[in-house]
Amino acid sequence: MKIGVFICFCGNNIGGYVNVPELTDYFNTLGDDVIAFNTTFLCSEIGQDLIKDKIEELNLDAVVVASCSPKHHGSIFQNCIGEKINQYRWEFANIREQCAWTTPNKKDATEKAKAIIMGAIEKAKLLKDIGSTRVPVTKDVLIIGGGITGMHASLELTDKGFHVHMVEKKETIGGNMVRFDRVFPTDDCAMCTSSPILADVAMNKLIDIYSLSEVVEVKGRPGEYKIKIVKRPRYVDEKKCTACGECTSHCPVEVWSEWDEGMGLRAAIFKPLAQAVPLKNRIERDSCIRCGTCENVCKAGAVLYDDTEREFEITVGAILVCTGYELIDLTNTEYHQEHPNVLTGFQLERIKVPSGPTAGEILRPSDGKMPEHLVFVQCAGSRDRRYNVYCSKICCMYATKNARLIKAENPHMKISVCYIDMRTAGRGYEEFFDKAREMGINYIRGNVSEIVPDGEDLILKVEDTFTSEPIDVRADMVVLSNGLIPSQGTKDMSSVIHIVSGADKFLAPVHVKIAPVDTASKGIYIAGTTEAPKPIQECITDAGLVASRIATFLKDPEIEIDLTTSKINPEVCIKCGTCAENCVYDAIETSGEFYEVRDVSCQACGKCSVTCPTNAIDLSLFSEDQIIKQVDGILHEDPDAIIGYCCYQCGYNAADLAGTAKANIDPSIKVVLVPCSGRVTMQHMLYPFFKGAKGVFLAACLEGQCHYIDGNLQAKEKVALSKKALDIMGVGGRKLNLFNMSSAEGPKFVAAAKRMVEICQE
Amino acid sequence: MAESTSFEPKIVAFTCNWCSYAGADLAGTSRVQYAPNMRIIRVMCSGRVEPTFILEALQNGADGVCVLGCHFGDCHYISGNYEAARRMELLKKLFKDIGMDDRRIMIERVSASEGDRFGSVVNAFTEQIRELGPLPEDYQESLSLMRGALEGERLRIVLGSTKRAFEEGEIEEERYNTTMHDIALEEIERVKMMKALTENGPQTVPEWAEYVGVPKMRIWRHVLALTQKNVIEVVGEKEHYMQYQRRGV
Repeated sequence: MKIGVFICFCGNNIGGYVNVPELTDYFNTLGDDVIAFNTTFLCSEIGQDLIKDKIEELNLDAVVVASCSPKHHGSIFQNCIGEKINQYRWEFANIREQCAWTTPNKKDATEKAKAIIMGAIEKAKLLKDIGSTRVPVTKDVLIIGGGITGMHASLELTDKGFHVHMVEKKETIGGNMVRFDRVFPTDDCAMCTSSPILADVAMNKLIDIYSLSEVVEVKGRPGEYKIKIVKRPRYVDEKKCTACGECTSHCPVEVWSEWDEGMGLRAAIFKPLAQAVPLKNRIERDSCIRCGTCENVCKAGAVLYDDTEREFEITVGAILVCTGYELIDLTNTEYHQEHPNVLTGFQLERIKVPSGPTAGEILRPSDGKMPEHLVFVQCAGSRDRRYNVYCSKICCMYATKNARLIKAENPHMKISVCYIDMRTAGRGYEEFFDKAREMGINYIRGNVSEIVPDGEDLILKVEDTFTSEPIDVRADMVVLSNGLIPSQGTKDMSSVIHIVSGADKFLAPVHVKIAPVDTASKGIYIAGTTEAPKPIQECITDAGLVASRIATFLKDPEIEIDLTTSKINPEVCIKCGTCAENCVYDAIETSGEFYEVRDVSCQACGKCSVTCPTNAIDLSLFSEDQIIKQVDGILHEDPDAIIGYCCYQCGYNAADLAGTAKANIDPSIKVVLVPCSGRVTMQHMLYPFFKGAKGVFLAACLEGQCHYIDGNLQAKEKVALSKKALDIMGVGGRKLNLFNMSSAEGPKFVAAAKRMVEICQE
Repeated sequence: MAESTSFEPKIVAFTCNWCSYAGADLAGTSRVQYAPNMRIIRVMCSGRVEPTFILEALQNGADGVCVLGCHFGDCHYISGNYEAARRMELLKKLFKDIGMDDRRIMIERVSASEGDRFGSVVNAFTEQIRELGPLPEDYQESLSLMRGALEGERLRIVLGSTKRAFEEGEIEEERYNTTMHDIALEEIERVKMMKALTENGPQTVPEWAEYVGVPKMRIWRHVLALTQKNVIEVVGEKEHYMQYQRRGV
């Protein structure tokens, strides 16, 4: 087995922290079967050519790439190596994010890199060819969420010839945008811009819309997902209702309208907006008093009091989640959102809309008065450690937009905006903001610490940060620029489809910069405000991108699936069925006589091999022995190391992020990548201690967020057992730990590493 | 109280054809003696009596009104007496809400064989009204407000749908009654708001609140509803408030 080691300087990124020539020399002294090279940029064409040339020239059996994180350029190297030998005959050594950038001392960093590379070499010795198989794909796409992102993506996809199933939780598609008055920075009427899109979606024969529906289960594999959908009863026959409105005009019920955010009234039978899609009425049964009037007056006979919930299944090739955002609720806080004259941004939109409850007049809810002093409160629940740490991005602009529009129509109204910083990055945004100040809108640079109700009016406690003086601002109406949070639907989808979310609870893409709409699961995508707060134009950009990504994925009748899956050794298998019971993907077939892995269903998490009593089932990549060998290699160079098994979805990303942030991590910490924390066997946990390791830890996804559903929970059990074993052996169970973190939580990884070092020094 | 002793109340009784009217006849044939203050109006069923009939009587000189029907379970039309009871319950609630004595109206059950009972029911009610004295003059305004509300479609729909709504088991009776009561109060306030428009011209929310005697926030809800139903419209501005008038006036 001849192995080529290619070490990258990455300019100064690695070369500045690690002695690359010393490393190269060292690995050239190990024997004939290991040959090392270095170059300035391995990912460049020159670097790739070097790898390809050397594979051919020296008949290399496997390659170790010592460079940046595989999450960064992994696919470049895989493709490059795949041109010459099997693309799985390479192993990486992450000496940039997880070594150079976290270790200030060059000698320490060089020694750490040595151990990381040695681990990779040892693992590479066990690499085998991995083939692929082709499986058919369904050309249908599921779009969850009918907001502006979902609508735009659906039209893009149908233009490309795909069939779209659109699932919408509400009674109409359109999302939040159709509830707005106007949109920045053009001051376009939101409905005028979106109603043609609504109409196109409604008329499109290739789009099936399921309103009042929710996805409750997703099974299957990329290219063939089986989706279970529940459609809640509308109590109106969609085939018969013509939305004439006769029922609504006779319904005796009047309740505050959810669609109007409690600013207007609705009947128990209603349609939320005139352009609703589908254009059908709906009975909201909680407010309905069953008087029967709608049924009596409906000439179409469309009222269906005994309508029931319906469950059905569809098959799709790809899934797009665009379930969007909602506003943070600041009721019963120092913002006093419960006060009638403290409005949310949404509520203001609803009273500003010309078709809204006040026909667009700004009248306050306590008594219908036209406010004399209207104050916008920025960063309400954003950039605040008590609520959301992040900036909600759109509020500076949406408040300015509303302030400008109101000022233009009511020149005598005093309008103030209390802000921390005005963030107006975007084409035409700063000019938009400048105009607002010219119009006489009063911008007060100061955070509002409290809103004190004073009868119907309000007193805002503000610190003017220009003069450093606390001031009281009296207002007769306040509009909070509530921060954005993931909608309930977004949170639900995170658990139904198992998409990892960040610390902010928005769903996380594979890579924020270079793969912003891809998720860790092939064939499953996210877009729009499901991913982060963003303005409408960015949602449209996302929608176009995601439609293109989906079309690329589904363009051929078949897709190739690499067989990195589990394999069963029939000679050792005792047919106990434990693996089949534990597999959440039903990927293990059995006739009772034999057990076999269904390659297209297997997600290669490796949880099965942990539960197998005879080690009969194992992963092709990340096999039991490969991991052990990698640990061997690391401990050969650094017997005092602390081994950290990091899961691909979260722990490893967090470790990379710690590096990107140039956090200081003790060089004894050595990361071993595993597909899932559930793949780590008890042997993996205990073995390093026999070899002298100081400690072992697992970095797994947050509970409930495991990409493979329950891997981190299985790991939790195994860790608990192994801790007991270590106690009995006198090593000390405290030296083995499991840490849960999301892929975005670099600081949590740093803390975990620090904690491990402390424990091991005790 | 010399005046009350000389006062002879005028009482109107709506009696159902099948039980109470026959009960009154039996009282007569049995020569049961009872107070002469009551004037009987025969209806086929106590369920036929609309709340507005009762108000009409009070508006035209009656000092008390009673509805007499069959005992529960005995209604010739199966459930008319239940309907009547429900309406009387609402009407009594509204009397209290609006500040009128609800003892001026009553519902009782008298069967065809209860001649004696007919006499005693009439005597007791007559005595009660006699004690209450003549219908106060200031009741007239409240009665006309209430009548305006009860003649409106919204309240008529709710009143007329009780049978379907909860006798068919689709909604709890208590919830329906609460909703019906809320709607009635809303409608009474809205009639009063309309009256203010007629009497004083365009109104703002604070002006209305003072006239109707409810909080401004409640008036604002009415304004939203009446605007949505195209009943009123904005006609001007006054001291930071919109002025509203009947649509098309």
